Formats: sequence, C-alpha cells, structure tokens
Amino acid sequence: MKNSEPDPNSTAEDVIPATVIEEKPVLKAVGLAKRYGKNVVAVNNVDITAYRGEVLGIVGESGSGKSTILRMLNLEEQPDTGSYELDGIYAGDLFKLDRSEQRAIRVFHIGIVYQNPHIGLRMNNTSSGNVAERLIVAGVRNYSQLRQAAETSFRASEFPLDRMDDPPLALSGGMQQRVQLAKAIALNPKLLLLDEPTTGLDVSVQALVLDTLRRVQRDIGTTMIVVSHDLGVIRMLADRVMVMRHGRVVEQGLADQVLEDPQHAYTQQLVHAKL
Amino acid sequence: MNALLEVRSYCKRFTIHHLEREIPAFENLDFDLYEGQFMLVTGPNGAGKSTLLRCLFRTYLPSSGSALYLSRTGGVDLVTATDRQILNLRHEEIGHVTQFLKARPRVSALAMVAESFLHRPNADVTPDAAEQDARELLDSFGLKRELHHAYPTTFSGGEQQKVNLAHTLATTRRLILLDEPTASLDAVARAALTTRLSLLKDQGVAFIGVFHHPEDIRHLIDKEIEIKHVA
Repeated sequence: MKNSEPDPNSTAEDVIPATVIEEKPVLKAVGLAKRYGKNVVAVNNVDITAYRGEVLGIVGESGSGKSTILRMLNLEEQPDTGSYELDGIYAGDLFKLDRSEQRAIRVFHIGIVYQNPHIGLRMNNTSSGNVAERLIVAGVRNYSQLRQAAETSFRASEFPLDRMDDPPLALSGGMQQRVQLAKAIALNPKLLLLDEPTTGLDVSVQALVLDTLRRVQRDIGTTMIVVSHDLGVIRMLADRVMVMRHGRVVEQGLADQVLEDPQHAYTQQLVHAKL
Repeated sequence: MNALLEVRSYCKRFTIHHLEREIPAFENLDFDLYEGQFMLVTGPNGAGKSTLLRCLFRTYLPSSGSALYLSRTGGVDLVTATDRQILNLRHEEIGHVTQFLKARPRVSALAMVAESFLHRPNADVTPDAAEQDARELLDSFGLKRELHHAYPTTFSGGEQQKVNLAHTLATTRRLILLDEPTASLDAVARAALTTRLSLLKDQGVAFIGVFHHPEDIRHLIDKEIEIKHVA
C-alpha cells in the first residue's frame, strides 16, 4: 500500500520505539577542572565521552584549555577535580591511581602524538630504538620480536623501513610525526591522543599525514582524540567535535554540523574566520 | 504500513549572531514518505530545498518539529536523536548525495567506490569482487577507464560527480537524499543515474531529491513538495 498523504491519526505511538542499545563509552571523563595559580582557570568543569572506533575532535583558540585536557587524559597531569575512566582497562577513577600505576596504563593503553616531536621522541636515538623503547617497557625482550613489532608499527605509519635506523633528528617534520605515530600505536592502544599532529608541516605533507592517521584509525579501530585549532584537520578526521573557549565547552555535536551550522556565537566566529 | 519517514511541523531558522538576526529557511513542513517512494522538492532558489535535505541528514540542526524515521531497529526522531544514533544511521541507512565529491588524498576513484561495496553493512564481498563491482558501476556512469586509477582530486566537476554518485549509490541505503546530483553531468551519466535510481527504487529505497531539471527522472517521481519563501 502506498499512501502519499500524511495520515493525521498516525503518531509516534504507532511505531515501535527504537531499541536503544545503551552503548558503553570507552572513555568517560567527568567534571575536569584545572587551575594554575590563583587566577588562571585552564579547564573549567569539562565532561568528555568517547566511543569505540570514534574520532573526537577538540577545537578552540590557543589557551582555551585543549592541550591541558589532553595532558590529563594522558595521565601526565592531575586535575584539581574530576574523574576519568577507560572501559575495560581499570574499574575506577584513573586519577586515583598512584604515579607508577598511571605510568603502566599510559604505556600499555594510551598512545600520544605531540605537535613537537622533541617532546615525544629522543631525537638522537635511532627511530627504531624510539619505538622499541615502548615495547621494552612493556616487557618485550627478544631482539627479533622487538624488531618485528617495530617494523609492523612503522609499516602501519607508512614510514619507509629503510630509514628506521636513522635518528629522528635527521628526518623531515612529516617523517618525525610518523615515528611518533609508530611509537604511539606500537601496543595497539585503547586510546590514541593527537595534539596538533600536523601543525607546522607543509600543506602537502599535512594531507599525507592526515591520510595515514585515518587509515590507522580505521584499521586498528582505536578511539582517537584529536586536538587542533585547524578546522580543516578536524573536518577531515573527526566524527564529533567539542568547541572550547576559556576552559569551557561552548558547543559540541557532529563534526559537519558544528562546522556548517554552528549554533554558538563563538563557533560562528571561528568558522567564519577560516581562510 | 508505517511511513519510513514522517515529518511534522518541521522548521529551520538560522541564527546569525554577529548580525543579531534570525533567517528563516522553511516553516511547518509536513509530509510522509514510504518505502520505494520518490519525492521531488520544488521551489525557487534560496527557498530552502537543500537546507531541508541537510536538516534531515543533520548536517544542519532543525529548529523544531519532528522527523520520525523508521529504522531497521525501530523509530527514531531525526530531530532529537543523539549524535551517535545519527552516525550509525548515516553509516547504515541514510545517504546524502551532494554536488561535491569529498575526495581524499591518495585514494583512487576505483578504490573509493570499491570501499563502498566492501563496507556495506553485512557485506560478504571479497576485495576483488568489490573492485569488479566498482569498475562496472564507474563504467556505467561513463568514467573513462584511464581515470579509474587516478586520484579524483584533480578531476573536472563532472568526472568528480560520477565518482561521487558511484561512491554513494554503491552502498545499500534505505533513504537517499539527492541534492542536484545531475547539475554537472553529461547525458550518458544522467542516463546511468536514472537507471541506478530506478533499480534502487524497485528494491524499496526511498528518495528525496532536489533537481533543477527533473525531466530525466520525471517517471520516477511519486510526489512533490513545494517549499515557499518564508515571508
């Protein structure tokens, strides 16, 4: 039967309600707050939820608190208040663990790529050594196993294997980011954090690194959080996006919706200012 | 039979903060769409035809009303559904064909379309079979063989649109939103598109489309909705 006129009697009740499968988030952070000194509020009551296989973007101008959030999620920095759970890793608040327990979680389950490779890498060691270091901390001791695991990781990051014994110092910016990525994904982390991963790279190299990130994300199905002030990067990578200003989330939603139909005055300003 | 999509009192207004004003797009739209139906959206330029499609896809946030969509797992109001629900629907049930291809660096035309075949929900296709299907579909739209392995970023508008259509229409969807898909197409590609749409329609796929020149698809249209300028 094809009925082309709206039926005034048909209402939502006629229809089976959607079986909403309560999807459990991989990452759940609630009420994050951080203050530096008396007057600087870096992060003010921020909640973050991220699901399996999803890319969450965080945008905002310099000083909006996005990098502080990333450091908290990487357990490098304790918040003043707030809780943080990673599903399937530990049943409880990760901020309550001691430093060595936090370090173990960081090594095994969280990968990070920094904007500045000097923070993430030992620039004078070999690139393969940088990646192996992570595996050694995780307990891999056999040399050929180490070599093989490092190679797999470099291949996934689309890094040329014949250069894996060069030190990062001798590599270009785009290649250094690939070494960081290889290191970050070496142990198949539950959570991959990216802090301005392509800022400072040439536009052409930027596109290639972004493309690699998308592939890696799809192949290993990890949950990814990417912080960037570049809306193009967010548009290309993110499923959902959070817009931050002065330490608060002013708007969040589907990436295309936030970028094409921004609701908040600040987001509109941000989108319209894009070149 | 329940409608696949039941839209009531659907409104969209844009709030432009720096102008301190609201710009209405459309107001109080009501319509029902059933499986296998093709609805044409008509109205003058700027009346909000594309905006309606974008609202249903949730690229734009509707201002009020409801759009009850009967998904495979039950009814969902596309106005209030969570972002996660919308992402799932976009992945499995609702497609949006725009006038522009979102080309990706270093992904060939063929790979892009093959990916759609490969990533169909519940698909049991080998990469080789997906590539074969992709090749046939691109052929039918008249994309030259020598372009199959090239990157669409550098294609002309019309060639890009062929890849775009093949990419979107390769997946199995239940509702497809078409935003002037024929704008930059030649006659061969327009004919291929009509054939493809008609095939999908027979399989029960529903369409809402904006077409400047609906002559090609006239025979597919079941109903029309007119959007008028909001005074």
